Amino acid sequence: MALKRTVYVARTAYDLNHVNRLTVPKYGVLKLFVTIGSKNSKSHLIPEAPEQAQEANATNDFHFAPEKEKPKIKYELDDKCGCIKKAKLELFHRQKKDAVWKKDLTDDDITDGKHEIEWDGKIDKGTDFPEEYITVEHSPYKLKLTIEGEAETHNYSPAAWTFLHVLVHSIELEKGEKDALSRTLDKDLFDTYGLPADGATQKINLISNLYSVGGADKADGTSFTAFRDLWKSGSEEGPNIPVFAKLFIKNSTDGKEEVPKAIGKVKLLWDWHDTKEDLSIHFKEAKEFLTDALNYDNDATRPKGDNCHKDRGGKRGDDTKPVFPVRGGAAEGATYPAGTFPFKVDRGTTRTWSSYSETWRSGKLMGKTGVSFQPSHIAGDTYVIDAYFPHNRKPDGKDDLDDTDDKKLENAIKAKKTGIWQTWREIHISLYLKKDASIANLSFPTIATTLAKAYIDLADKSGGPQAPMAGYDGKIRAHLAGVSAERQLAVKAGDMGTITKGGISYLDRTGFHAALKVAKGFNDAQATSWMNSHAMASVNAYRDVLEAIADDVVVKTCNEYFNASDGIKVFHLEPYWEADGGDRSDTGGFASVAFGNITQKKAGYIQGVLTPPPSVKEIASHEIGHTLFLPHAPGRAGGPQAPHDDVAHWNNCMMSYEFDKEMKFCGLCLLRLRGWNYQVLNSNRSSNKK
Amino acid sequence: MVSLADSLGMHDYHTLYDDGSNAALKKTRPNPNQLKVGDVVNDPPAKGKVHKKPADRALKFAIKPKKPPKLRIVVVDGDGQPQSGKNWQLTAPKVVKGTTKKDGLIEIPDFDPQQKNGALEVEWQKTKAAKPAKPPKEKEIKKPTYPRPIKADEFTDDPPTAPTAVDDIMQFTLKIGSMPPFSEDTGTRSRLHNLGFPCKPDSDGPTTQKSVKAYQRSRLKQKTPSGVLADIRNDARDKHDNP
Repeated sequence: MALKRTVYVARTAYDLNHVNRLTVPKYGVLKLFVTIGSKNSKSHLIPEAPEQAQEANATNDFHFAPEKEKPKIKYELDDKCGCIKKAKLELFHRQKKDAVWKKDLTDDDITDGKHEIEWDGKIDKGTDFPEEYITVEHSPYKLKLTIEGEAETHNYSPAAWTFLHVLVHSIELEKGEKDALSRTLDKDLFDTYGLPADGATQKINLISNLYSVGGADKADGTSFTAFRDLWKSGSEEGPNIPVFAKLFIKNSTDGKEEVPKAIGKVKLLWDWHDTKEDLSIHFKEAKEFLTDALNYDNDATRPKGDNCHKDRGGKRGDDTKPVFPVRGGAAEGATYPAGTFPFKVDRGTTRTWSSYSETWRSGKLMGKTGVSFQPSHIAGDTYVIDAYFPHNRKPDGKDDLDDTDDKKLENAIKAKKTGIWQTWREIHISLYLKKDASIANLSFPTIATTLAKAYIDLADKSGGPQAPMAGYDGKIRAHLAGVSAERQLAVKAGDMGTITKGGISYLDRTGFHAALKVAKGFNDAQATSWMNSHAMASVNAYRDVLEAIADDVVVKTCNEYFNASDGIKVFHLEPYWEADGGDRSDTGGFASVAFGNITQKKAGYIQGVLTPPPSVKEIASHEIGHTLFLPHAPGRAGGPQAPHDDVAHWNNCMMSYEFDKEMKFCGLCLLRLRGWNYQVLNSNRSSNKK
Repeated sequence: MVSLADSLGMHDYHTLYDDGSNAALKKTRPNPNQLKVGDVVNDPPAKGKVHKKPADRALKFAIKPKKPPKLRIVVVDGDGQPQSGKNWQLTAPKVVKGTTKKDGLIEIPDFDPQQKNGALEVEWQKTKAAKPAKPPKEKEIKKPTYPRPIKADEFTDDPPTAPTAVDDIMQFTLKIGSMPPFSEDTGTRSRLHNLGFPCKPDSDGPTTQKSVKAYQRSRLKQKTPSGVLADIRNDARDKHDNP
């Protein structure tokens, strides 16, 4: 319908020339843009409207930091006749018909010419905008100015609009909160780590005082299952480490601003990869064994890598055991229930080893999100965690990162790099008793170097060496009461706590012969005959008897000193036993399973002394190896071949008695100590690769 | 005055307007075409004219023709600039076509002074034809960008109502002879209205004030307009009435 307008006109007399001037009143919006400093957004008009010059460097990428910056909304109206009756600014986001913010302009704001309104991004409170600021969540935004005029007038440019963004500047990862954890194990672990800085490695020390209680568990799968199950919870395996991410806003000059309320609810993709294991720390044969064992489907799993494969008890390649498990999240508020992971986490649909987590729009954790990082319990495995904010966020919140193609991750803002997480086992020396204060202290840090090759931290929690062993004589004499009266004759008289630094002091064979004569009223021949018939026919046979007595009463005596703490009890005796004439036991150490107080959490061993080799370090490592389920190596130690590297390849395993070279844990022992399922490994190292 | 004189049978409005009995009115109404309702116009006694002529022959008496008024309209834009070359058509009370002159003038001579209504169409503009909407071509993004380019069609707010070619024709309904004198508020408001301001002869105070302020801003370039009608009375007359 054409424009209609009633006008009031005068006739003009024949001799006059006055006129009636008529105007078709028209009006329109000429421009709308947002500006701060030298940055301007681009103004858009309907195609029918006359084209207008843009501001300098106007762009559709205009962005600013809500609340922190106060850009100006500028607009220009063409309304010479004052016909504009109403005007409103409205803010829209994608796929939403209704405005999320509306501002009706006042009469003074709708006059002909240029206008400006300062605006820091504050909008009306709504479900999607609880903090009343525009957010990254719904960016980009369309700001639209619409005008309406009087009847009988022409609105030639009824609207102008411009686009603006709230952009993520960067993401920084941070250590999460203890309240996000429920298991005591995880809470205890929480106090031991920090977020690794780029270039650094953070050890995840999984306290795992798990020990052998007999011979059988050195030959079955206990060493694998006990460690795995300690850190298992339902179907999930491994510790829980809360890692949070803080998102920062990009201001108009692309600087970084912390504006949590301008984030909204967005998702980050959490991804991980491992780092190639450094085998340079190992001796040649161990390196060779490990090289083959680690070379297992390296490129076939997602992500690729050489962490322990699921076939060997690890998590690499296991879609059922995500590193970032699903979490339901908690309601946003000033706090959240302790023991509840606060953020919602869902696994990728296609990129199944990655997960998405959602930020909080408001409350204590506003502008943050996070995951419960759940690495494998396998010692030596490494993880580098990355978090990504996708460039291409669709209106429904989905993005294009959920893809197996790593190149897609280039379409995202990557969190500031952090370092490497590496799983370690931690075991404790929970008691260190020396028979005598003059015995030189064991150096646990030195002993720890052998276990460190298996990513085991041997931590001395004993509080330091204690000496002497209080009440020793009374305890051992009580246990000697259970020994035959004749054998008791071999034990020297006196306070066993002070007459020897060893576990027990004996008469030599001649002394025993003499004591037997007196005790039994024997003559020489009768005493000799008795000894011959009681396995003491020779000096060596006599020594075996002394060893047996010590294995009984010294072990039982030491057992009485066990304390309640989990870990290894070390009883340092020099020597294990001794006899007159300078004879000493050949037992350098003894991880007895006869300690009555041992459990799967408490072990003990006796540290003796030998003329090297083996060294104190080797003896201690060997015995600790036993407590950690390792059986003897083949050869002189008489152990089985299967759980060790082929002796033809490495014959000097720490668990052997081969002293011609420095003893070192073989490759298979190292992996077993790390928590690998040794039962699926082969002594023939080349069989372990795939 | 023109139509009044005509209705009284006078061939020239001066007979009425210039009569001594209307001297006071003439002083207050310098434009005889703009009287106010309530103005009193005295009808002077008819002046007979005596001609002594022989009665035995045929005589011819010529009566002077009436001098009808004109209708003069100037089409201007919002800034008051004349709009030349615009096609127009008077469809009532008679049909006349033309094109506005350089000064924007439409002049209808010999206009029946008794006609009080008219209709004028002016093709005042040519709406810019919008190009047919083409789906925006998605650019291949070789290097990922953040933010990604705007996809306008992802925004689903109501589109603005675009003007169409129908709006290019302005149909003026002419209330002829209804322009009050400029000295009256109704006269100033009527002029404001004709000049495009949202004001009618009987508009209320706030509406008038808004129009006056708009006038002061755009036509008088005043930054702090008063909004007082009297302040623009003379200027509005000049800008509306003066040739």
